[in-house]
Amino acid sequence: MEATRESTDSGAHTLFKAMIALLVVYALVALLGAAQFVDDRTLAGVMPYHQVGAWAAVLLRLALLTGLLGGGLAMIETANERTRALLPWLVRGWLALLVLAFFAGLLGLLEGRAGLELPPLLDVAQVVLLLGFIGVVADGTKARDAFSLVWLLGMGIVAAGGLLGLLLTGDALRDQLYGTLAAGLLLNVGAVLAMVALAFGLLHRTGALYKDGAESSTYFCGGLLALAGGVVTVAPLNVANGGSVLLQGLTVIVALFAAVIFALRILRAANGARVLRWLALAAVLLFGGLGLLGALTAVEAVGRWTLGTRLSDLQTLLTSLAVVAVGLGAAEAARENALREEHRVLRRGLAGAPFWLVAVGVIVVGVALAGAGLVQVYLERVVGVGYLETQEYLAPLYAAWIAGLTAAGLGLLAFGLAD
Amino acid sequence: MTGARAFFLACVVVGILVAGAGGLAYIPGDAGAMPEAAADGYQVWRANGCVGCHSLYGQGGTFAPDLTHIHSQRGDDYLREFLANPTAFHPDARRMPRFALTRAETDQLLAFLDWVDEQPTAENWPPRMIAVNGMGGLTASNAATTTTTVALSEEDAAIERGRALFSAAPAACSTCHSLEPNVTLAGPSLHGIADRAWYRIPGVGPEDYIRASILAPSDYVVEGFTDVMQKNFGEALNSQQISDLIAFLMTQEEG
Repeated sequence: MEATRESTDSGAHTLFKAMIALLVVYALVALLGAAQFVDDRTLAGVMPYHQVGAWAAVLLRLALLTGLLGGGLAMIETANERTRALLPWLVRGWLALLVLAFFAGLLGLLEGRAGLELPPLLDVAQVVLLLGFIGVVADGTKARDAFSLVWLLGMGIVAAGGLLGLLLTGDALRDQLYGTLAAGLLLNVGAVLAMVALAFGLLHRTGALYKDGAESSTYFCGGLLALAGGVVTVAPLNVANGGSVLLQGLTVIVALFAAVIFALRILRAANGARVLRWLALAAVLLFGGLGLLGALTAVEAVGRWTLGTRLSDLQTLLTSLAVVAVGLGAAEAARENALREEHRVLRRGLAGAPFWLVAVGVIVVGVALAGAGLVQVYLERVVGVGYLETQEYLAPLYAAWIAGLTAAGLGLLAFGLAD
Repeated sequence: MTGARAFFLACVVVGILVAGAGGLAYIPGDAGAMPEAAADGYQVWRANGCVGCHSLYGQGGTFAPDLTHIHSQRGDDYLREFLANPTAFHPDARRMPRFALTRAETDQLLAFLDWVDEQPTAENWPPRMIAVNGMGGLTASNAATTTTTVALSEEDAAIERGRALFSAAPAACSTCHSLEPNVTLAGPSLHGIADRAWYRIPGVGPEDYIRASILAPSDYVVEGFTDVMQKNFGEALNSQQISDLIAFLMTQEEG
């Protein structure tokens, strides 16, 4: 058992380190993209925005998946010999995928399809590796508890979303539809489910919740958020096509209720332990993204005006960052477990700054982009000011976005260097 | 725990079914299938990563305007010139990089954008035309402020309406024409047009010249410029709007 834990813990540590490195690179790339919103003349020569935007999206998505995979490995108690032999290859394969995706982005080889931008071969490799990890975690945990069962189901849905995203029909409307569904299943349903499992698993392992309470919360919140994720995924299509009022109402109620319940359960249980602060941040981000924005923009009277603005962008970004925050919490917990007590005391003094830099930075980003979205809706859609002039009015908010990204990037770098 | 697990599984199944069924309900039937030229244009769209900056039906990038209705807003000639030389347009604003499309690729891309504009979704969204540039309602609201303090004559009101239209959809003349002297955009500066229009074309009065330049721009192409002005202003603008624009342009004198 000890050998098993060593190999899986080592795999988890490696993936957590990779996640942090990816996030730092993501922050830099996202900064380049954000800066182009303010001044594209000089910076477009570095890399045109459509490449930067796709690169940042890929890095963020891979970072959140890497964190979820690390968290999954950390749940394994036992594994047979075959799985112990397979695991290092899976980890190496995933790291190779990350490196190839990094260079694909740098060289402008990404596909540009919103939410699923990897070249097809790397997309297929991603799905295959995900299935491999799911198999390893299933073998190691036997889905004995709620955390592993919900994680496995969530990552299975992530893989299914990845597969759906590979479908290309050659028809623009069908591709947009399948792309929306694939991206939504991957993030709003699958990744959020895995995130819920990791979050309550962490609360149990740190002693903040008894096992029964943590498991029932995993099932309850996981179920509600999966339902919310499903309805929020289809909401933009419903709005653009003037669709079902029933679906709009269901989305508002379910999205808000699910996000509020999750936030309350996490915030009540997160007892101030440093690891659990990341969970509190995740709860706030998920409430803003999947909950509030998901609900508001699902209402046709609102969504018709916000669709295509920074507000619809922001819903996906905040949900992604919520998943990332739980990954960072899992990484922090894994570090704490690996340290001897005297080192833990020293690190606790240092560990506060990275969290606050990331938290403040991310919240500034959220507020800035929300403000930009609201101004964009008013000027562009209500008053009728042109897109280009509206962007000039948004420059101060974009500057705040850059400041937030900078703070978050520095926090992530500090978090990584503190290891 | 069995009840909680059952609740969880039921929610997951329902969530996926709602997403799947809700989305698949919008699969277009065969009547909505893309014609070949549009399908080729869609491949050009994908190959050049257009969705990285632009959106269609509100989905895609946010770095550049939504292009759902760009074909009806600008027309083939304008878009062709724009794609060939995008940096010549919007000199003081965010500029699109040049993608060096071939003529065939440009034709295919325009066919795709035309097809996008004609789909049922485009009838429902956006709720209001999204202009690429122009001060739109801000200019109109300034004019409204003026009218509350001083009662405008019908002639002055027409000039103010024309001023608003000059930099707002559906005319948005300011995209290609400046009102500043010696500032050339895609089209010639209209500073002093009220004076030049008198003698531009012998036998044609200034208002008639300006009207013809709007409705049939190919008839009077200014030397040194190419014939790229939109040809569809006759459909995009009603007669009142054209008269208002003429009234405004007739105030643009040399002195």
